[in-house]
Amino acid sequence: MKPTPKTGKSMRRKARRRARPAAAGSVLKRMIAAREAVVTDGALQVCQAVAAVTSLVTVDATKTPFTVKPPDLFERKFNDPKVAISNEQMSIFKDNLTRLLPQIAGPISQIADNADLLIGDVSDFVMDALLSKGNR
Amino acid sequence: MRLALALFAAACAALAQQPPTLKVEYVRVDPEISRIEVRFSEALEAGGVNLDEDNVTCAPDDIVITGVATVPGRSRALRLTYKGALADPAKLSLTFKKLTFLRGSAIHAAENVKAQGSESIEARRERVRRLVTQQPKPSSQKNIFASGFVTTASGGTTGGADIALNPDLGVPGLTSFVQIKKTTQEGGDPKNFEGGARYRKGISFERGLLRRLQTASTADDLSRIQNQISNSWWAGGVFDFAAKLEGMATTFDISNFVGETGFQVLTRTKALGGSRKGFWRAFVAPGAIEGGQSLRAGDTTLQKSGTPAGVALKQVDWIARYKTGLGMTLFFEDTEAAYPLRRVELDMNGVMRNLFFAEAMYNKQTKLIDRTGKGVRAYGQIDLKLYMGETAKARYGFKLSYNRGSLPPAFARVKSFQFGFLWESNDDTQQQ
Repeated sequence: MKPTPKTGKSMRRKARRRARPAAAGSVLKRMIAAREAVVTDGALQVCQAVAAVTSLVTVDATKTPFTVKPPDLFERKFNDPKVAISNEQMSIFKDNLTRLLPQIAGPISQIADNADLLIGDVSDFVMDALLSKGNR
Repeated sequence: MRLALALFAAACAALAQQPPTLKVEYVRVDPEISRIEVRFSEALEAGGVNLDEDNVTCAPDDIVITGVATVPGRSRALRLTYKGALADPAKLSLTFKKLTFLRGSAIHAAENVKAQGSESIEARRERVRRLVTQQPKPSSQKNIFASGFVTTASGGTTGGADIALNPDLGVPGLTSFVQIKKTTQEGGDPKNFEGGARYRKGISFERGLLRRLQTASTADDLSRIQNQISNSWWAGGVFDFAAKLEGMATTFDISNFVGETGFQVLTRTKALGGSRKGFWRAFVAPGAIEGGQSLRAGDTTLQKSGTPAGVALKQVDWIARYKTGLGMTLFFEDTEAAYPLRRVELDMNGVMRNLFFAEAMYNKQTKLIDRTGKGVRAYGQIDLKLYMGETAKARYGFKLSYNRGSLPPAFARVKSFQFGFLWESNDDTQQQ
């Protein structure tokens, strides 16, 4: 008696079972990658992380490009009276930013708990970190 | 003589009437995303500035500008997108034919504004990294608490010092600190010195909402989550772990090595009333533990004297304390106010310690370390800064400070009122 060839129903079923999760995984990965590609330069995330600490700053991400109040936020320091973030609150700002940009958690942790920093410099640093990670 | 004076006056008038110029401060080039950001010295006219690609000419010729736009969050910048390969950002040269900008509320125009790329990408990244990793310069380092004097409740004045330094240790989250609270007035001198290293970790209370903000797909979702965040009161919590040397400033007759761990909850910064002229923020530290060992508990001669005080001091060994506290900052500024009071800063902080073991303490009556004590020890401080005027470089006014209670390690009782003239550099609010 000849042995049954290994291209029968069971093999096809096994192949399908293997393929389905792999395909679903790759679709999900593509979706995540597409989502991350929208992140671009991290400026919106910096504004959102600041706004989560101080009610003096508001962000409207429903518009493209987003709008922020005060409109010159990046030209101000964290401890500017129009932003009013303290050194202690800086560590919470960093945690907010880490939630929004988990792919650069390492560089974000290097940011000093220094409210005397210029928000624009932090935004530049975040952008550099995102670009060097290849997140475009 | 008259002619010379007239010429001088004419020159001054011409200088005064000279229109403001628009300068390029920085050009940031990101070849990875084919983007150039040009940052100017003045705010550009929002909505009125020419964003036409034909308004910009660039070199080298092998790149083509494909778009010009304003930059969210930057009033003094324009963002350009380009096509083509830009190998060396230093060789980039841009010319804006005409740009309109603001000086105060007046609109001015500048023609042929030239921008030149100068920095390599690696150099820029290193410069920015150095900028954002530098440790804080506390406000006490910037202040000159000029003519500062201390007045105790019973009278008398003398000089005072309140110094805090935070040198960089180069490890994320880890900072070193040195704090001295010292005056020469008996009854107004907390004799407090603390120096050590602190690791700090912040935990946001908005983690869930921020995660949802990332995945929100519709405008409605985004605005709902943004509103939820802006309506919340608490920003997050901060964990502190510190190892420090406490000393009786400045003789170190009492010194302890202490480890500290604590947690504090911080509010978001909230606007003061409906206006954006002021804000308040607060923190509550529900619990912290300080534990360690006494290194020195007063004079050894007294310890060996065999008197009850000496025996008690000799027995001082372990340190165990529970600490709780709260604080609030209130700020108001009205630069256009008709009255002379332009800016008010109020800081209120209180801390309470419960000492589980007896510790060496300073005796105000004998002016010696000849007693021990345990139990509750509290300290409160209220600082009020009233600014009367401001120049381009500094602001000036008065500082009033009220301190009451006692601080480790000497637990010298303080009840004092400080008053001084204040001259403070205003680089904390100057826009860059």
